[in-house]
Amino acid sequence: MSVNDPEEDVVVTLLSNKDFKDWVLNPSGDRDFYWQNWIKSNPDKLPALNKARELALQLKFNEDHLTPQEVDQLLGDIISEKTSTRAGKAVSLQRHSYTRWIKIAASLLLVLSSSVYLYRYVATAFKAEVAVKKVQTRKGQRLRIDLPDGSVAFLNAGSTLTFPEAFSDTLRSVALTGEAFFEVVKNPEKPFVVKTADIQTRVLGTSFNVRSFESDSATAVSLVTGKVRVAPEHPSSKKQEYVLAAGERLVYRQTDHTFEKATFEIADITGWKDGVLVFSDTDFAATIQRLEQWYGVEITVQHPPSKDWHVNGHFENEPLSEVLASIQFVYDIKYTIKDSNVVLTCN
Amino acid sequence: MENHSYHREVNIFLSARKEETERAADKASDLELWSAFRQGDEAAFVDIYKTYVNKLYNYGTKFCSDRELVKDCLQDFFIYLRKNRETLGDTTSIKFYLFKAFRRRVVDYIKAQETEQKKNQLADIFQLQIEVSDEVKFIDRQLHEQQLLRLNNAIAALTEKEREAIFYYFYEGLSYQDIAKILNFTHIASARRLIYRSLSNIKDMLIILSCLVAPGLLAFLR
Repeated sequence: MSVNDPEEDVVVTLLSNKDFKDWVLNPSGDRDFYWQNWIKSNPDKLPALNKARELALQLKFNEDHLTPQEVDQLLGDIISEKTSTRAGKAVSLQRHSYTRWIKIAASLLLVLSSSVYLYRYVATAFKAEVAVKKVQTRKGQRLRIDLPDGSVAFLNAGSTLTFPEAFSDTLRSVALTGEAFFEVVKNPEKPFVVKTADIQTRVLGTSFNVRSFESDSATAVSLVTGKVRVAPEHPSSKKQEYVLAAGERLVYRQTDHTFEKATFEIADITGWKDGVLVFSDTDFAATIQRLEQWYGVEITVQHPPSKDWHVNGHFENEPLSEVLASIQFVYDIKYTIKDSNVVLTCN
Repeated sequence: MENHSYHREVNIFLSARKEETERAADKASDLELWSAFRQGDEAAFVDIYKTYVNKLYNYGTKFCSDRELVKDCLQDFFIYLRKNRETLGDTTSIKFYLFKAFRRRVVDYIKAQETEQKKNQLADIFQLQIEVSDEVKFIDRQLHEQQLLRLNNAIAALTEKEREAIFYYFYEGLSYQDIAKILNFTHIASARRLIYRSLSNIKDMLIILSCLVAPGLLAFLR
């Protein structure tokens, strides 16, 4: 293979053609049409094209990442405006190479700025903490949160709500993992947006429930009053947006990225915020998960049931033993409760 | 083997279609997200931070192998953005905006460091290493690793601008226009020439590499 081999030049020419490179890495309809035709009219260049194509697909550059802990730690430092020590040093070191006079001025400046920094740090420590607020519930814990605009969020067990201490002028944006019920104060000029991992719900003033647990593999928005718009967090093929009316519920399934609209029983979906544990045709696995989350217990199943369960019932502020006793009334189970550990055996 | 390559083709096709449509939506959503951030929306800031912090970190490590220094630069960079949000300009590409601004900052820090070290060991700025994707590695591992070493030597012999351009072009998928802007070229043609020149300089190595991956290619085309 000589250096002057024209095939090599064709490979280089093709690789430096951005449209070719993009076609190889992201073949879209239009580009595909163009390049298929190009191949037809340049059949002699096919070997070179294949080489160029394979190369573009195989080239992989080494990568370096921060760990998730580093990402969070860094964000914390940024929000509390902690200026990094090293980078500051780099600048001050540069000054040392100047004249002596400047050297003295620089060290004076350094002392001055570090005391200003200390003062500022103390002053902003509180301000920074209120900039973004994160409320987290443990298993078995439910909270009512008053949002800065007067809206109210009820946070179910094992959930997290993140929101700014003061909303911006144009948007009221909160982020949720888990489940929450929102009663939103009406303000048409400032839409209220709930972001979850895969969808966002936009409202003007209304009350609704959002459920998006990682373990669920589905996100559900249930509207009690008013009107909301739901859109995918990452818009895909076509622009998808759903408008819900009161009493309607939209379920987004992560497995196949589909949306399904249905009606719902208000008490079934929102009962939790008033301390009512609701089962509605709930199967065995979901029942166990519900109980663990609601009561903050660990349930060990020694023997799963031979036939699946369909549990129904509303339990208002009942202890776990009551609920298990009710289930025992219908299904043949044995259980022991010791602190936050439950052992369950089904027959 | 045939089955495997069929899947691969389908996957490439699907991911490509997704990216295409996303890119169209990106411009509008970037504009919206960026202006929300500039108006003080903290959730928007966190969104931007989470999306780009690792990309910028990876980018920074190409200029400087000192992890901690890159982290420090990132920290100061985001603090600066957050503090001066009202004075920042509009952008339809947050990624490009951040890359350009971050590059200036990293290069300044490194220059400051070099002055201190009296340039006694002038670090080769912008490091780039090529790896080969896992599925190829098993074809002829030993031979392949030798060639890979030679390719990486060829890349190391490029000028730092050439290496940097290759990174933007293949890895970050930037347009010639954006590459020209980041490298402060007046003409887009300069960016195009730069890429062509870099590829020509490593073409011998590229061709040898492409012969080695040919078995994979045959299965792919069948």
